[in-house]
This record gives sequence, structure tokens and C-alpha cells, in this order.
Amino acid sequence: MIFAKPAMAAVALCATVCPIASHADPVVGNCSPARVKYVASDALAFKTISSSYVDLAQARVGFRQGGNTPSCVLVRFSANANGDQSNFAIRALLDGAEMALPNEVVLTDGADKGPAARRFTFVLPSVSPGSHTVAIQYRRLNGTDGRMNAHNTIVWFAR
Amino acid sequence: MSCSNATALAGAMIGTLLAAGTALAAPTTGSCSPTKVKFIASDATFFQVTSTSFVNVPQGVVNFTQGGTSPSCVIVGVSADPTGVASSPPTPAPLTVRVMLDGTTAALPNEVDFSDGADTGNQVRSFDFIFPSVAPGDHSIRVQFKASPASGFADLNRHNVIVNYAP
Repeated sequence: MIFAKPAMAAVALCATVCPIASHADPVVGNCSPARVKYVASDALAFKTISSSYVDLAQARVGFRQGGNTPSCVLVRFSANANGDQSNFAIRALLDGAEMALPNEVVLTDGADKGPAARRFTFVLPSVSPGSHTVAIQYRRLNGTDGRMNAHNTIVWFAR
Repeated sequence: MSCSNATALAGAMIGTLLAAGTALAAPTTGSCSPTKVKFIASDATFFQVTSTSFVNVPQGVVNFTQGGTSPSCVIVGVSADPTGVASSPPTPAPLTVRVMLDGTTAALPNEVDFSDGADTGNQVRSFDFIFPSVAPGDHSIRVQFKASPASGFADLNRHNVIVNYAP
């Protein structure tokens, strides 16, 4: 076979010799989270220098999961984040203990020159009926500090 | 307490103090059931802006009728594939977006950067804006954008606007 472009050759070679990644089974589900509680933060910097997870201020939502059986909760987090001084990561915690899926995401890529919009939807697949709290936490990954700036945390839960 | 734990705790305390700051305004909180959706998906082309004050984004309007008998929230999800490039690097030239209700009320937060102004190409940006209290009846959501004076040019490119409102 003659490859027209080196990139095509590389792809074909990798398909032959690269190890096949073994993925864990995904988590799947269905639900009807029709209720919303939210918190819209002040428009300040919300800077952290911590390399371990700390609570993000003004990003905690208490809610009462409805229904008779456990069902999903969706946590939609948006921020005008700025990683020009450090990459930083976030996670969503249920009741201070259970991490939403995925357990963390990197919000900035280290090439920022200023703030820019980022949004991610975390999934809590099975939350029992009753009172709960979701909190967003963040940590810097390399440089000196990360700034979250204005952020909205929107929790969709069962009626 | 181990050293690593102590370090982590100190870091957490410092981080919390920094996060809390000294002059935070109270956040806006609320609850609602915005289960209806209207949306607009734009053409897959350039949507460029040269204005350095806010102007309307073409194909960025959604009209809807808020239901219920009392004011409740509306959530506006804006997704785009923008790019903003500095004309005089390293001075960044951000692309800024805001969402207006009925041409007068800005969503929370009032504005967000959809590019940091140092892009080397298009990349996905998205944000959920919140209107905490929208009265029942007919309304219009409009997305606006502006370029930075540092370049006087940016491109929001293809974009989707999805409005969640009360049935």
C-alpha cells in the first residue's frame, strides 16, 4: 500500500502495533431530573493556591432528592476560568464524600492568557431520596495559582 | 498528623481563605423547574465581530413563553466554537459574550469571555447563564458579543443557544 501522507502511514502503523486500551465499562442510566437548584457566584477572582482540593466558595448547593428510589443527579458547572498561572482541576462532591463522574476534570490547559468559558456536566448516577449537598472543589496542578472567576453551579435532581 | 496531611490542610486553609476573600458579594441562589426547551442552532460558518461594544450575535435569538403563575428561573446554555487572536502578541484580545433578556436584563454572570484572546485556532467554549426571576409571559433571549480593543476582531463561529424555561 502506498500512503499519500505520512499521517496516514502513522495511523495505519499505530492501528497495527499500538496496544489496545482496555476501558472499564461505562456507567449508564436514565432518569428524570426535573427540578433545579443553583448558585450564581459573585464576579470576583476566586483564586486558589492549594494543590489539594479545597471548597470553591459560592459553589455549594443543598437540595432534596425526590422520588421513592435512588436516581440520578446532574451537576452543570460553568466558569470563566483563568489558568494563566497554573492548570487547575475541579471535582463535584456529594455530601462531602461521594465524587461525581468523572472524579475530576482539568479545567485549563496551561496555555491560557486570560479567562475563558468552560462548562462541564458531572453525573451522580444514584442518589437516594432525601436531603443532600453538592459542592464544587478545585486545586492547582502545577504553577502558582488558579482563578475560577464568575461561576454558576446548577443541580438537576428528581422532583 | 502526617506532614503531607498538615501541608494539605494548610494549603486547604490558605486556599479557602483566598477563595473567601474579603469582599465577596452574596451569591444568587434559587430553585425552579425549567423543563421546557427552545433552542437555535446556527449555520456552521463564521460569525465575526469587529465592534468593541456589545452587538447582537446573528442567529442568536430565542423567543419563548415562560409558564407558571409566578416568576421563576431561566437557564441559557451557550455553546460555540470561537477563536480570538491577539494582533499584537502577547497582549491578549478576548472575545466577550453576554446574554440579554428582553434587551434590558443581563444574565448572571453579566459577561463571560468565550476566548482568552490568544487562540491558535477554534476551540469549544460553553457556559450556562442564569436569569433568577423571569415573569410568566412572552420573552426574548438574545446573545451579544464584542471584540477586544487589542485586536478589534474575533469570531464566535458556529453556536447553539438552548433555553430552559418553565412549562
